[in-house]
Amino acid sequence: MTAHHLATERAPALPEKWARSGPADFTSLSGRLSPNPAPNLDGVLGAAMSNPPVTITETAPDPKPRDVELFDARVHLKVATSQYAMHLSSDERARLFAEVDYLLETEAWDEENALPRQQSFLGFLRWTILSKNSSWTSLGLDGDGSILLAWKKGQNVLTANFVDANEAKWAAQLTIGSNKEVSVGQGPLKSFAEHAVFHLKRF
Amino acid sequence: MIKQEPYARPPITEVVLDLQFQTEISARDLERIRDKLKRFYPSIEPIRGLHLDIKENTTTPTFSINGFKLTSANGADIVLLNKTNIGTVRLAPYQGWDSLFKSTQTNFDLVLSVLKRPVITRIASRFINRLDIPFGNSAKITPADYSLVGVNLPQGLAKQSISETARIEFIEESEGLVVVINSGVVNPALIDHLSYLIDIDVIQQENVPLRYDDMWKRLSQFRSVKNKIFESCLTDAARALFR
Repeated sequence: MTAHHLATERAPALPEKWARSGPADFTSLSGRLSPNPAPNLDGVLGAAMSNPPVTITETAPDPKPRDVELFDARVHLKVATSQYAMHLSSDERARLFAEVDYLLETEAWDEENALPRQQSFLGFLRWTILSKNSSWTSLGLDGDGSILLAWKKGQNVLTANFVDANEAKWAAQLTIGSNKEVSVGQGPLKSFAEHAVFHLKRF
Repeated sequence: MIKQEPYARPPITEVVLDLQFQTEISARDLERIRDKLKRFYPSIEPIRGLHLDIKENTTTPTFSINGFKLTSANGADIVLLNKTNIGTVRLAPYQGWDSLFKSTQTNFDLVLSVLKRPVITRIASRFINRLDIPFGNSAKITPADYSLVGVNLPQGLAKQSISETARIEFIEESEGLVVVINSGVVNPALIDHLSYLIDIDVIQQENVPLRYDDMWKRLSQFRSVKNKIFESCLTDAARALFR
């Protein structure tokens, strides 16, 4: 038996810095091809550290104008989507991009809003592919940049807040006959996928 | 058997066609090329470099801009413009070789509108494929059931694999091109899946044709080479994932 023939077990959850922390990180944009690997600065920095300590500071670049910042934020979400594009239909991708463009539109942007958090957006994408559910009514942004989803039919509402790439919070408010039911939850994306099915069936 | 028909959902996450220049591009010309590309790739980020000037008692760091990463509005088309090379990148969904090749030529034409007949010393392609393998009802997945490239470990040493990466470099048979394959298990992109990467670089870094039309002809030959290598690395179980 070889290592290649060894089985790999399920990973419990996606690490926060998932794209950089894997055992083999090939997912970066290929700035360099393999025969010319990026120069290893370890030795250089090691030599520097054996002398008096060096403080490296870089002047922060000028802040971008708001319209450029929003345009770049839209592009970053679309780049993130590309890592999952093979699991989305062209219609799903087109709808998602239209929502992203709408959400981060310069004219409608509220200065109180935070730009979307990449980890929250990844959580939304991973949940979408797992649940195969694109029936949501609207996509939104929380004050801290979390991605929000909502389903609404009559007086029934289900909302979700994607905490990070692995976890979501959700709340359901349903009117069944003359009774009102309210329930909330927080847990792994897989759990929210199951709860969403349960609540949406009762809409 | 080598099958080369297009897949319904190709597992390609990123492809690059890269041209390396013999002479470094000046900072001014880099900016001029950036400005030409900006129309098609409006989101621009500088690629920064760090230079350390180390003397006996002092170390002086200097930051510089080594190039630019330019991204299209759709987030799927990117140019990596450096002092020594220009890479035309396509992220998923992959639109096919012809589209990538045409974009590479268009970007190079924009370079030629600034630089006078730069000599190309290396041409290369990179195809990064990620196999997202569902666990289904099983608790474990064996990568060898999907990929024919990987590392070997003598029997009886390991109870369970923690990580697996392999790197192979060789000169391929048909065109004499240098091939580098990096493969391995990476953090899963999807829930309840194992992600296995097969990263295939095809490179010519000697005797690159000086005439541009000959260079393009040579680069177009990379297509069948990388297809053959990719197909040779897969099992039918892997192909079934993206049909």
